[in-house]
Amino acid sequence: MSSWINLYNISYAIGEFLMGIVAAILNFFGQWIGPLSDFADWLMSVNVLNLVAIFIGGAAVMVFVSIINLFIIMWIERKMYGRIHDRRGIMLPGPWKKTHKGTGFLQNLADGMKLIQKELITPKNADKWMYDIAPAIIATTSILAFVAIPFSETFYVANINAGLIFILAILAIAPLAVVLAGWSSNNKFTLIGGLRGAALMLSYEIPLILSVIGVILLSGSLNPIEIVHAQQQTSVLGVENWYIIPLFPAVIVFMVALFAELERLPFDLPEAEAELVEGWLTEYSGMRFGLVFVSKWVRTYAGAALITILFLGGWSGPVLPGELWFIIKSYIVFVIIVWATWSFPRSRIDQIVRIGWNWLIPIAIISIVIAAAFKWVGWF
Amino acid sequence: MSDMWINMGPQHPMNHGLWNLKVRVDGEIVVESIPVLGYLHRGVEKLCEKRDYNQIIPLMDRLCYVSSLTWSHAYCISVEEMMGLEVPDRAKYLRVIALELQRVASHLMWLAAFAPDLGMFSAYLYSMREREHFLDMLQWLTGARMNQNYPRIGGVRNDMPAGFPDRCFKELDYFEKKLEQYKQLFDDNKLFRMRTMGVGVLSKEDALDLGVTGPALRGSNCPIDMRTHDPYEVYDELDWEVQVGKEGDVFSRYAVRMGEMRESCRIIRDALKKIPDGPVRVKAPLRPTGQGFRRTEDSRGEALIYVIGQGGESPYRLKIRSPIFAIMRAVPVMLKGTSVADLLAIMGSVDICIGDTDK
Amino acid sequence: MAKKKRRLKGWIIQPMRFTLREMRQALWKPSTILYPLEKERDKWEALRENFRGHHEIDWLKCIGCRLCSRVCPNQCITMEDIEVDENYKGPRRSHMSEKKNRIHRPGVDIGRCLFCGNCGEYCPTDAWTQTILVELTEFERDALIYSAEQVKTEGGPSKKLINKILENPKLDVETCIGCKRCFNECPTQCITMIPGPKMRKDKPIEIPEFDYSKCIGCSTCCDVCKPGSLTMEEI
Ligand code: SF4
Ligand code: SF4
Repeated sequence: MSSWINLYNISYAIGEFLMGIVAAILNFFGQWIGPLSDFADWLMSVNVLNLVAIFIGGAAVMVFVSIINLFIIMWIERKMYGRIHDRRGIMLPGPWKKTHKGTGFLQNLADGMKLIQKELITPKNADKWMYDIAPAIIATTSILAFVAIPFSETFYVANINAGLIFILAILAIAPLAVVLAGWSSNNKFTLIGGLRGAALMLSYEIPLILSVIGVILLSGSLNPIEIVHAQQQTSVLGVENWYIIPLFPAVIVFMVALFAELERLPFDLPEAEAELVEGWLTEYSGMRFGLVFVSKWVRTYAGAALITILFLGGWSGPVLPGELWFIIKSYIVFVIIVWATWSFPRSRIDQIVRIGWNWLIPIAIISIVIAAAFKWVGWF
Repeated sequence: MSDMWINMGPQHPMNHGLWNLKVRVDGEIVVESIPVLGYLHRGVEKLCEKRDYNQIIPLMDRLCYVSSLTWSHAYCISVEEMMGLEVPDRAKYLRVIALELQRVASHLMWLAAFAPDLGMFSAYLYSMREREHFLDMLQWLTGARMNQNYPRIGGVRNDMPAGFPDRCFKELDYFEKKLEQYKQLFDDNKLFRMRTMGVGVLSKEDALDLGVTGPALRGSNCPIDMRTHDPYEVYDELDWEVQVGKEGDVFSRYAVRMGEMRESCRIIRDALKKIPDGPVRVKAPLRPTGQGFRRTEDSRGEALIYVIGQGGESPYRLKIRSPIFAIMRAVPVMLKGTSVADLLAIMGSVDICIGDTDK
Repeated sequence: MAKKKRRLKGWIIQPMRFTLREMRQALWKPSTILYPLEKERDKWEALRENFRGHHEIDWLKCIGCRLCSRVCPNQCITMEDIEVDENYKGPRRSHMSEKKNRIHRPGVDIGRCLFCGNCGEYCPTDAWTQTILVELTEFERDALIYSAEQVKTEGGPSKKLINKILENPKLDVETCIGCKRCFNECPTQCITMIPGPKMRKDKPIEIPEFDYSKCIGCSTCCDVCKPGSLTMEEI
C-alpha cells in the first residue's frame, strides 16, 4: 500500500495539479491562439511532469534539510554544548517564551540575518573566481548529499542504485573547496589551513570508505534503501539485525573518520582557531562565511543520517512512522557527535594522520573480515 | 615548500596579551622564532618615581591583573626590607592566605587560557567557574576581586572577616574534589597527553642558563621555588611540598601547575589553622633611605623588585624583574623544530602575562 | 595492567564521562547567572565587609581636611567649597567668623577612580565609606564626575579623630609672622594662638600652639604657611 505514497508520487500529484491549472488557463486562451493549446499539451506530458515532480520533491527535501532540520540541529548543538559548559546556551530570541529564560530557538535566524547584512570583503590579491566559488561548492555539495539519503521508504528524492557511493563522493568534494579557498585567499594562515585540509582528506577518506565495505558485504547492495531493507530482516538473535552489532569496530572507525571529514573538534585542524586564526576561513566575511558555517551543520547531519542508515537500521522501528524513527535516531547520533566534540582537545596534524593510518585502517580491515565471516557462516 | 615568515601577533588568538611572535616556518615546522615585545609599555618604573610609597601599591597591582596581589606584595616586602621593618605575625599569615588564594586563581586563569589553545573550550569555562569561588574569597578578604591593593608597607589593609576560615574550608573542599575530577578530563585524556607529552622540552641546563624561573623551571626537574629557596613570610613554617616535574615538557609544566594548586589549598588550610592573634599592621617610617631587594614566587616565576629610597616622598628608583621577560628568551629554544600546532601548547604552558613583561 | 586499562579508557571514555557529569549537573540548573536580569544580591551582601564600591561621604563626620584628596593615587578627588546656613550641624571649616558658614567637602571623579580604597583608609574620621554599589556605568564621561552633593550621606557626628598619617606640624618660631592662616584653615581646630617670644611694635607676635591629641597630620597648615615656618615631622 505504502509503496505508491512516496515523495516522488506526491510531488508528481502536486505537480500534475499545478500544471493542470496552468494548462487549463492556456487551453482557455488556446481557443483563440492555437499554439497555446499545443504548449499546454506539452506541459501535461509525462516527461515535463516528471521534471516538475523532481523539482518539487527536491525543494521539499531542501526545505526540510536546510531550514527546518538545520535550525533544529543548530539549536540542539548550541544548547547542548552550553549545558556541557555549565552555561545556559542561547535563550533570548525564541518563538515561545520572550523572557531571558526562553528557548532561544530563533537565535540562529538572527545570526543569519546579521551575517547577511555584513559586507562581503574580498582581499585585494585574492584570486577572485576561486575565492567566490569555494563557499558555493561547499554549500551545494553538502545539500546535494541529501538527494541520495532516504528519510524513509517513501521520503526521498532519488532512488539511486549506487547511492552510497554518490553520498560519499559528494561529501568528499568539500575538502577540494577547502584547498581552493585556502590557496585563493592569499593569506599564510589560510594556506596552511587549506593544505592541512588536503592532508586530512587523504588520510581519512580511506578508513571512511573501508569501514563502509563491511556493510556493503553484509547487505549486498549499494543502495541505501536496500541496505535498510537488509537490516530489517530478523536475525538469529530474534531482533532486527542492525549492523551496529556485528560491525561495531566499523562504527567507531566511521565515527572517527567522520569527525575528520566534518572538521569537527578533535580533528578540526584546517580551521584550528587558536593557531591559524580561523584556518582557511580567515578571509571570509558576511554570508560567505555564514554559508560555510551552516553547511558544516548540514554535513554533520548528513553524517549522522549516514550512520543511521548504515548501522542503525534506518527508519525501522515500532509504532511511530518511519520518518520519525529516522529523525530520532539521527538526532541521537548527532547528540553523541556534539558531546564528543566538546570533550576533546584538538590533535596535531601528524598525530591524527598517524591515528588514521595506524589504527583506523587496520580496524576497518578487521571489520571487513568480521563481515565476511558472518556472511560465510550465513547469519546475515 | 620554501620558508615563510608568519607574524603571530599583535592581534592573534594565540597571544594572550599584546605581543608579537615572528616565526619562520618550513611547512608546519618552526625554523626560527623571534618574540617581539614592547606593545604594552606603560612606563611603570618611571611612574613609581612620581608617587609616594603608599600610592605605588595600587600601581603594582596593575602589573599583572591575573596575579596582582603577588606584585603588590613583592613591592611591599622590598620596601619593608629597605626600612628594616618587621611585620606582625598575623599579617604574615594573612598575606600568605591571600597570596595563595591569588595563586590558585591565577593558575586557574592559566588553565582557562591553556586549554582553549589546545582546543578544549569546555575546560575554559570550567576553570573560570572554579576561579569564581577564589575570587569570592579574595573579595571577602581583601575587598576587591581583581586589583586587591591588600598588602601595606608594614602589614595588610584589614583583618580577615569573622567566619572567613569556615567558608574558606568549604570552598577548598569543593575545589579539591573538582581538581581530582579534572584528572579525568586532562591526565587520563589520551589526546591531551599526545598533545603535551614530549613537546617543547626544555632541559634543566638550558632552563638555568636562560634564567627561566617558576613552574617552567620546576617542570624541568629543578626544585627551585622562592618560597623555600629564599623563604619569605611564613612559608617555611607551613606544611607543603615543592612541585617538580621530571621531563621538562609541556605536560610536566601542566602537572606542576596542577600540583601547585593542590599545594596552595594545603597551605591555605594550614595557615588558617595556625594563624595567631595580634595586630595586622605596624607603623611604617616615612621618607626612608636605603635599598630594598626581595624576590618572591609569583605564579609565573621569580618576581623581583629592587627599590632605592633617598629620603623623599617617593622612591628614587624602582626596578621590576618580570619572570616572563626572562622566559621569552627561552622561547626560541623551546620552539625550534616543533610544529605550528605545538607552538600553541608551548606558549600556553609558559603562561604569558604581558602586563608585567612590558611593564 | 590497571594503568594500561586506564590509558585505553582515556581515548574516549574518561573525558566524555567528565563532560557527561557536568552536563547532568547543568541540565536543570546551570551555574551561570544571567547578570543584568538576575543578581546575586545575597552573595554581595554576605561578602560586603571590606568591599570597595561606590563612595559615600558622611557630611556630619567629615571635617573637610582634604586628606583623602592627598592620598588618592589618581587625584580624582576635588574639594568643593560649599556655603551652609546658620543651623548646619556638621563641622565647619573654621571657627573664624568670616568662614563660619563655609564647609569643605570632597567630590569624586568615578571615571578616574581605581577603587583602591586609600581615601577611606586614610580618612581620620571614618566619614568616607564605600558601598557595595558597583554598577556605575554612564553614557557620558561628565556624568561620572560626582559632585560633593551627590556622594553625600548624613549619619551621625564622629567622636574620634585618628592621626593615620603619623606626622605632626612643628613650628619654627623665628620665621613665624603671626598671620593666623593656619589657625584659620585647620580642619580640626586644634590650633590656638598664643603670644610668642618675638615682638613687633612692642606687641608680642602671636604664634600657633598645637593640640597634638586632635591633630590628624593633614599638613594643611604647612601648605598655607607663607613663610614656610611649619614643617611636618614624624611622631
Ligand atoms: S579625609 Fe575624611 S574628613 Fe578629611 S576631607 Fe576626606 S572625607 Fe572629609
Ligand atoms: S578609591 Fe578612588 S577616590 Fe579613593 S583614593 Fe582610591 S582612587 Fe582616589
